[in-house]
Amino acid sequence: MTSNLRRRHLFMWIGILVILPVLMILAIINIPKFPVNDQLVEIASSNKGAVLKTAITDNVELKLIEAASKKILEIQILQPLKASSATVHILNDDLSKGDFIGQISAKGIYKFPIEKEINGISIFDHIKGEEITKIQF
Amino acid sequence: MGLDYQTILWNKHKKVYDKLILAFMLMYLLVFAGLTFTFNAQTTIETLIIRAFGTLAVIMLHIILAIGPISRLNTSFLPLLYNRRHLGVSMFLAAAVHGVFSMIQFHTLGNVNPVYSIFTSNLDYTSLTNFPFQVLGFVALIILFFMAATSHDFWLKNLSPSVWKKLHMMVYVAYALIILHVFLGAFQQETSPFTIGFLSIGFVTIVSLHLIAGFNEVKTDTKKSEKDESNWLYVCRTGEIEEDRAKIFTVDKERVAIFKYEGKLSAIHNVCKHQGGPLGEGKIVDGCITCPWHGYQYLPGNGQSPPPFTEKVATYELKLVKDKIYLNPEAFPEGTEVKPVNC
Repeated sequence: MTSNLRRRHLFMWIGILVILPVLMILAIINIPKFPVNDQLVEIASSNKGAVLKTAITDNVELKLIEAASKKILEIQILQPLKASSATVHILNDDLSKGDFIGQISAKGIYKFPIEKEINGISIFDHIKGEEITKIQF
Repeated sequence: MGLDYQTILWNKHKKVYDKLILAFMLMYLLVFAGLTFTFNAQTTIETLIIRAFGTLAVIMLHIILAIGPISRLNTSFLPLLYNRRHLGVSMFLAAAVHGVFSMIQFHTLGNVNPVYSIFTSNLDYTSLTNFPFQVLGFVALIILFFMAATSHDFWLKNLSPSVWKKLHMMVYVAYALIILHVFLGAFQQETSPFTIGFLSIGFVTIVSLHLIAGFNEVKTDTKKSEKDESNWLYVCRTGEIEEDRAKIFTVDKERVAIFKYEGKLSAIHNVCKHQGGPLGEGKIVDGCITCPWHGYQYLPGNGQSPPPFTEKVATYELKLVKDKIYLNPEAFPEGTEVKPVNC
């Protein structure tokens, strides 16, 4: 190697040493502290209310909350779901997949307005066409 | 060194190294598949392929990037450096399998072009945390493709060594993109600390090796040499150079190779015109200085490649005082005939 090339190599590695960790640290700092993915912002922002029903599994915590005479279904994803597509449906009385409520993705809290009484939910992977899990209150 | 281009200039070492590369890749893929099915039996075959080849490519890239500085720090690793090209192409193939399967798995189910989908499926380009990491991997794969495709003397000759070298130094950009691709991917879709942990260990190791080797070179470049009354630099005693081998000496931050052969001494610039290989780490074969990287040859007396080749390097004047070798630091123009010193 010529001296120019040696110097270029060294500067490149010094650059990599500085830039990459800075970007990584900034990425970590920029993680939202409360990863809330709201579908109904005004309801989600008033987080107070009476918890009517709860259910919990290894991956998902479910709460049915009543606030300002409206019912909200709160889904907290505790561990990432191993599916590229996850939609939430009301669980029918016969435990089959009912009406579509909304879509969930990464770890975090999701809130959906609920019009009627529900017994649980079904989380469905539409790409694979199979149920990921069902949770009953 | 040859007049025509061959797909691969095989020799017995290359065959052994290629077999070792293939065995390593197969063994890694089998171990990865075995561990995956043992600890995560729900994994689909597509996901297994994506992850196995992706991790394999990252490991191979780290090995490739480690070879350069390790050979600078310990010359017994030099044979790995001379055979790095096939490892690079194999690494690209592993990365390409990862990239193509990822594209098929995640971007061919929609109604838009898969490449367009990579760039538009996540538009959070202003976020550091949720930046579309697949774009980083895609750009890195394109760089690796051009590097693998031009890893041949035909392209080196036709692009010119300078352009070729610049293109191949893009591996550092590709490395940075791949580190961020894996980091953000693991960050956004994984919870296991192992991915980030292994990646951090690899990053620290590679950067440390390059910086240690780089600063060692700076130290060598700035080393002061003893001068005689006419400003010639003292190199070493004749007995310190093996027959048909060279001593590498630094003159104004540039390296000069002083060869001893047939009772004579000659000095030429250390950098091969082909790919910048260190001529002083090579030896005299059939009367010619032979570059250890790809066998390019130069006559020790004038630094010219034997006809019909046209490469030539700068030459230097030597003198002998008793058994002490002195070198005139002023280089002659490339290819200048200099009478060897008898020793």
